Amino acid sequence: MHSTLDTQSFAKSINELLVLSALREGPMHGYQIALELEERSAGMFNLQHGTLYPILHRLEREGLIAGEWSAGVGRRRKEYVLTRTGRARLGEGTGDVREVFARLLHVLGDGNGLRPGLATG
Amino acid sequence: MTRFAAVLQRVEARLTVPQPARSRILHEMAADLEDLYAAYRARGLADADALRRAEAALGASPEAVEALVQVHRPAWERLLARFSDSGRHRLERGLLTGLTLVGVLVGAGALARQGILDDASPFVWPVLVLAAGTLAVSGGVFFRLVVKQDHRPGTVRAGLLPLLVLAAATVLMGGIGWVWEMSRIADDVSRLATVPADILVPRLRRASEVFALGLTSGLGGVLAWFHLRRRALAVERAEASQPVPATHSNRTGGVP
Repeated sequence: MHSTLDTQSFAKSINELLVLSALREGPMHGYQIALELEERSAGMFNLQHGTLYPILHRLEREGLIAGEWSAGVGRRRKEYVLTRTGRARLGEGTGDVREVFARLLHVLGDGNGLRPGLATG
Repeated sequence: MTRFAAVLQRVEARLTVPQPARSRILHEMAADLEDLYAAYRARGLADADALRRAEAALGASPEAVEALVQVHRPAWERLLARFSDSGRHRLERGLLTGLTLVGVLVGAGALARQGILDDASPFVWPVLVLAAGTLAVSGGVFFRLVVKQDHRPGTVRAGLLPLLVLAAATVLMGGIGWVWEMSRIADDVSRLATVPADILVPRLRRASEVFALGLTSGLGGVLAWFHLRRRALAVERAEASQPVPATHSNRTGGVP
C-alpha cells in the first residue's frame, strides 16, 4: 500500500536530493553547488542562490550536511560536506524518486487510454 | 564595504534572524557573491556584467529570504507560533515566574531538610531573598538571550549589571552575616571565661552556614553572569562584523 504523492513535498525533496548529490562529489561552497547542478543538468536545474540557502541551512540543521567555515585570504567562506546520514538519505531518496518516476512512466505508458485532450496537455 | 552592499542590505532588511546566525548568513552570501563575480570575470565578462550576473544568481527574493528566516527561527518562536503576541507574553511571564518559584521552593526545601533554617542566623533570610533575586534575573536574561533570542538594540546587555550586583550583594550579605555571627561569638568569649560547647558549636554552625549560603549563591550568580555576558558579547560582535550595517528595525531576533 503506497501513500498518495504530495507533489509539493516531492518537489522540495527533489531540490534537497540535488544538493546532496552535488555534495557527493566532495566539499563545496554554496555557489559551487549551484554551478555544479547547472552544469551537470545542462542548465535544466538552475537553483538560484536565494533558493539554495534555505535548503542548505535546513539540511545542515537536520545533520544531512555539515557546514565548515574556512578562513581564506581576505574573507571567511562556508563549505559544505555530505555527512553519513546525508549519504544514506540520498540513497533512500534516489530509490523513492526512481519508484515515483517508474509509476509515472507506467501511467504515461498507458497513454493510448488517455483522452486526446489530456494526452496533449 | 563589499561591492555587493546594496543587494546584501536589501537581504539584511528582511533577514529577521537572531545573531550570530544573521551575520553568518550575510558573510556566506557575500563570499559566494564575490566568488561568483570572480568566476564570471574569469569567463571574460566585463565588470558591470559580472556584477549583474552575480546579483541575479543570488536571486534573493522576499520569499527566499522568508524561507531562510523560517529555517533559522528560534525553536521557542516555532513552538509558540499559534499564540498571539499578548498571549505569548503572558505565557512567557507566567512560565518565568513559575520556574523561579519552583527554584526558590526547591532550594528552600533542601535547606529546610538540612535543618539550616532552624535557628538560622537572621542574615540567612536577606541572603535567601538576594539569591532568589539572582535566580530570577539570571533566568530572565537566559530566557531572553538564549531561549527567545531577542536581541533588540539596547536590550542585549539588559539585566547583566543587576545580575552582577545581586550576585555580589549575596556574597557580601553572607560575609556580613558571618562577621556578625563571629562578633557575637567573640563577645561571648570575652564575656565568659569559658563558652560551653552547646552554645559555641551552634553559633559557629550558623556563622559558617550563612557564609556558605551567600558564597555559593553569589558564585552561582557570577558564573551565570559570565556565561550570559559572553553570549551578549557574541551577539554584539556578530552585529558589528556584518558585511553590511544592521537595519535598525530588524534587530529583533526572530520576531518581525
